Amino acid sequence: MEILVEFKNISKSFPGVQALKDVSITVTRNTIHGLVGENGAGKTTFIKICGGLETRDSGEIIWKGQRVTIRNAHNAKELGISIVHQHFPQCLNLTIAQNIFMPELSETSIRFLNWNTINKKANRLLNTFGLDLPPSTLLKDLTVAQRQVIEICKSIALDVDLIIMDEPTSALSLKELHSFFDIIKQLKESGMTIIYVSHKLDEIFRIADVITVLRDGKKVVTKQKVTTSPAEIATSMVGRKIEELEIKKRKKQSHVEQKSLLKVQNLNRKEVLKDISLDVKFGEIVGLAGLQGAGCSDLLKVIFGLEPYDEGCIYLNEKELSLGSTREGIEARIAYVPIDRHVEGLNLIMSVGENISLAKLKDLSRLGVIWKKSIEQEGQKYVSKLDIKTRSVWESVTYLSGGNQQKVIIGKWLATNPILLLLDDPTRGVDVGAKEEIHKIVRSIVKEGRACIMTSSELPELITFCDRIITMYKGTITGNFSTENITEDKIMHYITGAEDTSEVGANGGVLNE
Amino acid sequence: MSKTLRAAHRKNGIFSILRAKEMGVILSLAVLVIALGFLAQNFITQDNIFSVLRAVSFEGITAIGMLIVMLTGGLDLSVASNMAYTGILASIFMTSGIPTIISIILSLIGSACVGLVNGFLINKIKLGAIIVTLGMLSVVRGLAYIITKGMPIVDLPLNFTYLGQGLIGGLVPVPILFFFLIAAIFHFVLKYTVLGYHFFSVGGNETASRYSGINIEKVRYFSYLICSVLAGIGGLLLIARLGVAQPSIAAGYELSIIAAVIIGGASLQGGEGSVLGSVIGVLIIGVIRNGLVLMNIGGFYIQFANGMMILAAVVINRLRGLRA
Repeated sequence: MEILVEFKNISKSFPGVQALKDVSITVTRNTIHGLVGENGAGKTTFIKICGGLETRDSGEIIWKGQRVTIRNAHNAKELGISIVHQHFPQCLNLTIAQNIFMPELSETSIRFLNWNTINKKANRLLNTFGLDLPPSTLLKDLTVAQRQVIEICKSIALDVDLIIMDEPTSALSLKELHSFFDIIKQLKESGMTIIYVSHKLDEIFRIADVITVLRDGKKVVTKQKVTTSPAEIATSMVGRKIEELEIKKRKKQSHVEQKSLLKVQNLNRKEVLKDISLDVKFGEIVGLAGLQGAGCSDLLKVIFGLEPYDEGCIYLNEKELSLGSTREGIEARIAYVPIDRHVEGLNLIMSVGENISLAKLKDLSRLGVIWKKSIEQEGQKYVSKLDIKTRSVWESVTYLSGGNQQKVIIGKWLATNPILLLLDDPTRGVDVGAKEEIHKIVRSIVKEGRACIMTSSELPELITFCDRIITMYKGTITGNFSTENITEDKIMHYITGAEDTSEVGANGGVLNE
Repeated sequence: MSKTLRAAHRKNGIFSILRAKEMGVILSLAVLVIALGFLAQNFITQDNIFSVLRAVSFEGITAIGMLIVMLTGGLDLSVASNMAYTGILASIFMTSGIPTIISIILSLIGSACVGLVNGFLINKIKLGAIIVTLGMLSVVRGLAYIITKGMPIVDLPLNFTYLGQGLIGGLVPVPILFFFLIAAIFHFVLKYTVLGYHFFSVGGNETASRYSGINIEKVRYFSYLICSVLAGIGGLLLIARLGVAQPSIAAGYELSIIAAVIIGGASLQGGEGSVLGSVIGVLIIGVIRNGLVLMNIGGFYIQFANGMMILAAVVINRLRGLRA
């Protein structure tokens, strides 16, 4: 078969991260090439290089037999490459037609536009996808799924040979998925080549002809679909040494009690969470495993009261919570450490002590006045308790390392004396030593009659640190495992949808009941 | 939902204007005019109507430039200073013997430079539009004072003052003609050219525009350039009308200009707004000003009324947005 594009030894690094290392991928014409990998495997960087939104450090791209450089989006378009972006950015203030033909009309000039002809062209495109909408409809009046279809129309409105789709189904409901896959098939029949990027293995196996696995910025393997299985691909997505984890797992000391602290029953949130029920015991650390968009972070936010829910009940220590605001969450003694500590967790221009005191200023103040001394005392207490490395409590948190900043956030919440800790990827971006320390701190806090639910972008962390792991896929719980006898690739099956979810009951789900 | 949209789409024609986004401001203006017609004796007279129109022309021309900058999500606080500075430049040239037309062209090049500096600092140094143009507000006004040493320039040539004071057919003041001509041109540019479409798309979603291959910097340069040149034209006409070039003219106009554009339905976030809306916005402000004077309500109330208008407009816009 004819080769359309060859990527040879593509490397790219960002400050502190090697995003891609010597990645070589060959894409043949008129195939659907699936590209899979965990979060952070380098998929998005690869796409951006293809689309000219990032430049590669080294390596070469051979497009239709010729060596090319793709400098910007305009360049990629001229070659015949278009991208359907994951968080597809669109102009909601413009009409369908104006959005669809944006790449085609990207040359700024005083050229006249005949919107009638453009609308007619857009109408023809919309009809091929069975979308019965006038092209002059404003995009803000469309549903998210309809906007996704518009994004695909946009990518094929140009005369392109290759379409790269980055997690194109993340915004679609199940019903819409079917028609979406029909569209992909239509595109292939019309001679298009597609690189389909996803971490959802069920989708990949449904449509791809060839599958390439990326891991930690490197290519692991490229396989014809017919010669491989979801299990094999899931294993190569993980690919870590199992013995190492086993040793760490055994070192863990847990103090799980019989009594439940948190009970969640049939929690639903439209398009995000479906029928979530779970149970967390005193002294327990539960890990939520799931890929981006699986709903793990959303579940934490709902429990804390940061996001609303449609139906269901949440009981904390046998009392029903009427959550809906963070204030009630804090009053119920829940602490929440957000995923992005710079944006959501810390006030970067304030000092360590001030940050720690922030959640309980009311208790620290007398007659509405906050005394410097009480901030200093409170700060000092947690600086020494958590061993935060800082010159003084008055040091600005900006100057602390990532791990120590994270400890400041944990300290802030400990100061409110919580009984339930919700940690959204608490060790993201901190170094190994700090990670161990944070683990130790969380362990010791939980031992004192508390419990913790956490997520992590690294499966090994959840396996070695948590007492139990709950897997989520597309907003539902797909499995519930004690970490005693679980392996990484088994979890990978449950969070990528490689395993049919209907088997869960038989297959070891609800182990702790 | 698609059915109703389809139905709404079919019902085109003469009634479409009733559903236009600008309908709200058009109605407000109509109500205002009718009310003042009853309250103020001399309001609906030929003379007064033309004098209101002429009075708003200078700010109106500048407001169209401001609209374009605001469409892209930017803001230009330097417009009023630019009006004075351009007028001063032209006056200096003219009084030193350079022909009027050449003086006008040279001074407009001067105002274009202000736009280029704004664009450069915002595009290349990645500074915020408010900070940059706030700085330029003082720099440019300062230049106007430095050039004139604070003294007014008098004895401007008659063919120049005609642009501000002349009447076409003995009836229609010349600035009104410029105002409506420029409004018509930019109405067309925004609706039917790629450049106009790019102003909306950059303001609507910068990332989407960049991913589509649009050169965002270029679009932004164009917006600040057009805004500055239009401010320059507004300034020239204003000085031609006054017949004297003073470095202090138009001080504080930037706020009423921004107010007019916002009243006309533009959003500070960019991507929303129209020439028609802005023109009506300018007229509303002009009519209120004129009405208060005719009714002998002191000038102190004018600023208060302006502020109330802005607040009312943004509240209404916000409520409309929430409903959609």
